[in-house]
Amino acid sequence: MIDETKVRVMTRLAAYEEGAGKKYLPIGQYFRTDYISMQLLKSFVCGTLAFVVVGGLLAFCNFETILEGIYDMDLVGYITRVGKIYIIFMALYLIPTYIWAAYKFAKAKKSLNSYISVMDKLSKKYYGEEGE
Amino acid sequence: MSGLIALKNNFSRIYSRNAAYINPLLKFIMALIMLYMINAKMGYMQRITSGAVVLMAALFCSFMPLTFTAILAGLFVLLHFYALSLEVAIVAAVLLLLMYILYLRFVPRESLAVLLMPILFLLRAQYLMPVAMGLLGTPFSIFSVAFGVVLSYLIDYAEANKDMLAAAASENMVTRLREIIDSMIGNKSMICMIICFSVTLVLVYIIRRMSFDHSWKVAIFGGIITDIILLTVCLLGMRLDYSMGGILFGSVFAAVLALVIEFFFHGLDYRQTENLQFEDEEYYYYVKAVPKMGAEKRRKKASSSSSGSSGTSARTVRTANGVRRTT
Repeated sequence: MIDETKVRVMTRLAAYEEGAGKKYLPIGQYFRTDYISMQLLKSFVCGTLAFVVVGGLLAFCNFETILEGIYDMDLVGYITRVGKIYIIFMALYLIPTYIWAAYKFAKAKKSLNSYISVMDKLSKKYYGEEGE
Repeated sequence: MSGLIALKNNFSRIYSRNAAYINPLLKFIMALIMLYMINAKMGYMQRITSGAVVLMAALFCSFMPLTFTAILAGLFVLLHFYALSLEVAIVAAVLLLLMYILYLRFVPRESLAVLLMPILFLLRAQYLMPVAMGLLGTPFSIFSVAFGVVLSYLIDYAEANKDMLAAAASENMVTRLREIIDSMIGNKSMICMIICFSVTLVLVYIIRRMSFDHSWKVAIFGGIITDIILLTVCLLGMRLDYSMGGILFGSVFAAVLALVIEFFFHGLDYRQTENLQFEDEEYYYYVKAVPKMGAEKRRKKASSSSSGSSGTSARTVRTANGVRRTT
């Protein structure tokens, strides 16, 4: 016979999995440090790519100037300057990434807690039946 | 007002019943308008301006997530730029790539806001975007607004210089690229607009988060007035190419549209405000509960329909501060 309570609980769970769960359930598979580290790694790759693209475009635009002055320029000093800009840029990008990832993880955990409690209710219902 | 609330309730009822059909339809209409506007504004590549292509693309968008529409719109913009000039296409591609990898990968839903910006520029209603994003977004939305403004100015630049850009390669690629980048970086109007919009957006966000009555309406008008003042100061102080009439009419239009957004996304009935005060073991709670418009009517309707039943029903209310109380 159909158990209406069970159907109601399962509908709620399915609705969550189709809605907010789509966003939060994948996050729930990680530990906090793993999730934040993964996001930081992604941001590191993306930030480096953005830096290379912008740097490449600027270098391409100033190609002639660079070629003309390549023998006179202080190459070590130039590379150090670019390195400093890169470090500042990455710091400005990675710090907000860390804050965002920590916030998103906390939000996902909060949302998943209620999902897990409903899930517990459902499993108790099943175990209860088995016990009988 | 009650007529409008009834209309809103009808809309939401129809929407909730037929969401499976309405969502694709809305996506289709949005994609159709967006792609049509892009083609009308740019239209350099004839092959993608035909009605059949736009219709097919919009149909495809209707079954895909909303971010796909933004990606497709970005692709249309790039193709038009490519048809006009490879250099503009490179600058636009770099801009879109930076936008995505630096910001939009965190908030993909805002990619639509970036691509709506050039369309609002076309309708002279660009002043809506900082107010709308202040109401619906976060302070970080200044990045999507800023990227949208840069993209709009790039489109304007291409339109203003299309003869020069389309001419046979009289200059080499490097010189053209440098010209485009210099004209974008040195564009005072664009930089002033980004600053004004950012200030407006943050102000709207701060005001609408406050707990006083009609905070959303105050945020809308405060934001619009601030925007007008800031843009006028820029116009007079730096002799920029804004039109005073355009700012005023565009702002009024934006205010009307923002009020529509407020009505659909917020719509509170401040006459029924309840100020509650209670305590538990750890805290005192000072709660202000404002019902949504039409909530009273729905409650009365529900209570009259359930008056015949003997059982009591529990109702959980979540207040603005996240406090839950059961009545």
